[in-house]
Amino acid sequence: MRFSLNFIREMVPVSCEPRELARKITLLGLEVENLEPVGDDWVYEVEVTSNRYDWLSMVGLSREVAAALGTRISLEYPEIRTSPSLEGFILRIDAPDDCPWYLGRRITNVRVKESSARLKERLLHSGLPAVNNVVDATNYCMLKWGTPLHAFDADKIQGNVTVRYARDRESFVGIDGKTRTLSSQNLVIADAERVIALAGVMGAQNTEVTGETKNVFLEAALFAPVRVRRSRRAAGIESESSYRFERSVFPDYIEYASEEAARIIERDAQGEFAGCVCAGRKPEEGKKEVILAGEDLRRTLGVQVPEEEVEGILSSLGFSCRRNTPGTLTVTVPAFRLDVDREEDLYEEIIRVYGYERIPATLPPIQPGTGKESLYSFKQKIRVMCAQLGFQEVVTYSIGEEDSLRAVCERDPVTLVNPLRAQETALRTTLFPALLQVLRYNRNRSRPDLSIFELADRYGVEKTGFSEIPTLAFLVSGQREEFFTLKGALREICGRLNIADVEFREITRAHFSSALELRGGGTVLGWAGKAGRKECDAQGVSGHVFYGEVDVEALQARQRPLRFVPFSQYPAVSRDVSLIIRPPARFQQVRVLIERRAGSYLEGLLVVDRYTGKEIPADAQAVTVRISYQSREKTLTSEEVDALHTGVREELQNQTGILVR
Amino acid sequence: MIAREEIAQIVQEFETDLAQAGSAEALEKIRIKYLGRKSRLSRMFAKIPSLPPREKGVLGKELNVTKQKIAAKLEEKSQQNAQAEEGMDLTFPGEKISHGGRHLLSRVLEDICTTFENLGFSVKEGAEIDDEWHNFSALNIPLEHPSRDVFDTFYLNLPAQGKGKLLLRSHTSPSQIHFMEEASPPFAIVSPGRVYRPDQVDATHSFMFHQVEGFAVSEHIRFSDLKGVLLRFAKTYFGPGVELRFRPHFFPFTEPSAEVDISCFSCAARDSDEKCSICKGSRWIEILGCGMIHPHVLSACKIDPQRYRGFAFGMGVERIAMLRYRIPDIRLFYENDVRFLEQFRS
Repeated sequence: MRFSLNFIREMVPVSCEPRELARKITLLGLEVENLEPVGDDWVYEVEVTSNRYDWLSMVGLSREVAAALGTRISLEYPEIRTSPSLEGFILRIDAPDDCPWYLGRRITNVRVKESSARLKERLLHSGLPAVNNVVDATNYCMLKWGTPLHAFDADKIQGNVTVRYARDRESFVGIDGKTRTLSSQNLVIADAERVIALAGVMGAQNTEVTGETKNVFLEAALFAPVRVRRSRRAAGIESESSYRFERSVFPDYIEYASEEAARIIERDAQGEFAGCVCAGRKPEEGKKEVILAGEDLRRTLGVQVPEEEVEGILSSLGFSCRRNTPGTLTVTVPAFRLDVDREEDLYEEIIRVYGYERIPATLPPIQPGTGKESLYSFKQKIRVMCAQLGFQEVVTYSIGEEDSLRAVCERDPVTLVNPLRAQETALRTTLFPALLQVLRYNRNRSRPDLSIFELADRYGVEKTGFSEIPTLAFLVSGQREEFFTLKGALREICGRLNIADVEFREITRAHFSSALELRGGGTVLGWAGKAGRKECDAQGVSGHVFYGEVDVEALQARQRPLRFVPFSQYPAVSRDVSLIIRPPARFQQVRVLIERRAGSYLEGLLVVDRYTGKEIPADAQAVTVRISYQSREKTLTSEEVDALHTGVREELQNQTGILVR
Repeated sequence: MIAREEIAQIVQEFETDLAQAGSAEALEKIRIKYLGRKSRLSRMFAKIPSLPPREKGVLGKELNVTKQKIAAKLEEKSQQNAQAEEGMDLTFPGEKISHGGRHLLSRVLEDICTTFENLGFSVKEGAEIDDEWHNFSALNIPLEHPSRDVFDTFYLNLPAQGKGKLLLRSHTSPSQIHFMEEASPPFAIVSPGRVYRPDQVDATHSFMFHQVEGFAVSEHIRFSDLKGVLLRFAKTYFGPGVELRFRPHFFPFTEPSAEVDISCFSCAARDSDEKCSICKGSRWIEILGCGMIHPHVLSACKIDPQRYRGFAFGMGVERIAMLRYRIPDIRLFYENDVRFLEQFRS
């Protein structure tokens, strides 16, 4: 909202310097976002919060300025003419809930021309264009009183006027020249033939005041905020008028605005007042009284504001106070403060004038929490762990593109009703496309290989509605072996969380050329695999890409407290065995067999070399496994180790697909 | 030859020999030659008893000093030789140690939460898919009212449930409602997380961003407590020199409400009249909104507003990170350029 200081000065003497005034009203809650001199005037740009409809008028702003300066406004109310009645003209309201009151005035024999310099300046400095002396009079009064008005060319109105809901697919051409198709959502002003205004939003072109206009019909009415909101949203228009109606207008000022606009038109356009017409009635507002207890004020704010000061502040804002029982006041709310209903509203009125800076800063006595690990702290722990394991965290958008999500995940995504951009239409069912996108972004900037993770929710449509699952996702790119970095990280995380019975099982997974399932504590925790060529190509990513997802809540549920595990006091002895493994044999068989054969003497096994290529069959792999033998009871002799190792070798030799070298 | 001249000669010869000695063996030979039992110095020591008493002390002292000097120089040389053999050129650059790290937003979010945890708050996250009742109505935001306009919202193609249509939460305040529905006062909670609004993406707007919501309810909470908690937060997070300014504002879910500015740390550091790019010359930077929880909100959660009072506040994590780390564009957080990520590893 913009306002001109000269306009304000018509109602309140401003003694202080314009910048100082800006500071003062900002601290009252009317935040000045910009201030600049224009000629001999100053233009203020202020943020009007949605509760303060009254700050959309110069009268309301002047009240605030007066309160900031400790003075009062002087406002002249024009004398309202209620006669003569317009003969032979019928005004009917068919929608009394959404238009309780409509007031029309007719001014004849006007001469439409430019407005006076003063009037034009008032409009321009408040951000409204100057049009002509009739339209400008209505806009001036809207600015001053906060109540939108509309002037019709009376000769273009055919027959009687009705306030009604639009018919389905009724057409409306606004003064902006654009055609809109209406529905029953829209409240309209219509004559016998057609729509002549979208009520509270915009007039129609067919009855617009032009240079040829001789007679004017001036509308002042009360339209319901929700109806105007629905109507302008359905029509896709927002106007100065609808902006005010949505935030409420003060019924008392409708008559003043209408009367003053008529008088300006009579004066500036040499028109003659021909009479008025009225339908409905002004809604009766009851007197609002709020009981204010000083003790409650102190309990809420934490500061004792003396009763005299409370009374002084409230009266400067137009409230009147009556002392009741000791310590309480009965406060009468001025009729124009539609936003004040209860004690808490008064607290804010008091404190914004008293000054927030005068409230002391205290610390509340807070009961500490239970100490139970929250999902939040678990997630933080996992983030630190992944970073320690060499992965870089990324943060990507939770909303992705529906088709590219479907291309890599079977689950049905939750789609947006009102997406902003074509690339964000659905909540992601997997973090894979987003992490792949990070890889592509960095590859385009000469960072070919990444090890990244993200901890965020994934979502999906479920029979019961929807799911939102905190997910830990990894993406690694580079050589084939990098997969085992990812696999190692998963095992390490499970190890640090002391999850029982951690194992990987080979699974088939759509869109991945090979994949493992991660199990622990008797349940599936996640999976990891090598992304399919087609899926990577679709995203423009070449090379090997490995990706995995872990269910964070499952991890948290399966973690166990760390406990010391005794280790052997005796030395471990290692022996290598070199093998060629050829499908369908898998390394897993080798592991299981060694574990079974070496039993409790197995301290650990390590793959120290892996080779594919010349000298061995194309689909086979040569591996060297280092086996560590150890006993808990004694130092194993060389002969004992050899016996164990020979046993292992023989057993391996007996397996199909495994050749011991 | 008088004794003093002989000593000078010995020292000179020693210096020449020492300069040429490269190996440990050569040094040992020199040691034996000059300090050994058969050395000239030893022979001179042996002559001392036969000297007249006047000269005895003088020569003895001089011989001792010389002996120590030679021993020290030998030791020094021996260490130099050892370094030449074992030592390294340490002026080569340190290796680039490239491990992983957390994203800056994780760190900022944690730093903010930790500040409040240290004041006794607990952290509780909320869900991102929510309904109209929790996102709006329970927070005293009517569904058809201009106060909703700042909370433009993504709606979801999911069947509406008892609490209205489903949506992506447009702020973290619904966490307040979810928590208060379950818990009974007193409590003090911070709730961080992602929020979504259909805002056109530019340098300061994103359709997804992070907020931290905080709230405390008890029989004795006052606005002054809110001030104290936020002041402590600002001083811990931005530095002990910052001040706070509370400006009256309107939020449907708090009454009274305020916006909070911190004194511009950039102006304070520079102390110049030039227009500061961070605060635009106003010396204040808005960082959060806050207020006393509206009685309607407490009632919606079945908490008696006559008995209990509460405060609430909310802040944008990206905005705070941008201020603190001087990040010019919000999109940098989500592009995940490794060159950005690596600058803020933690």
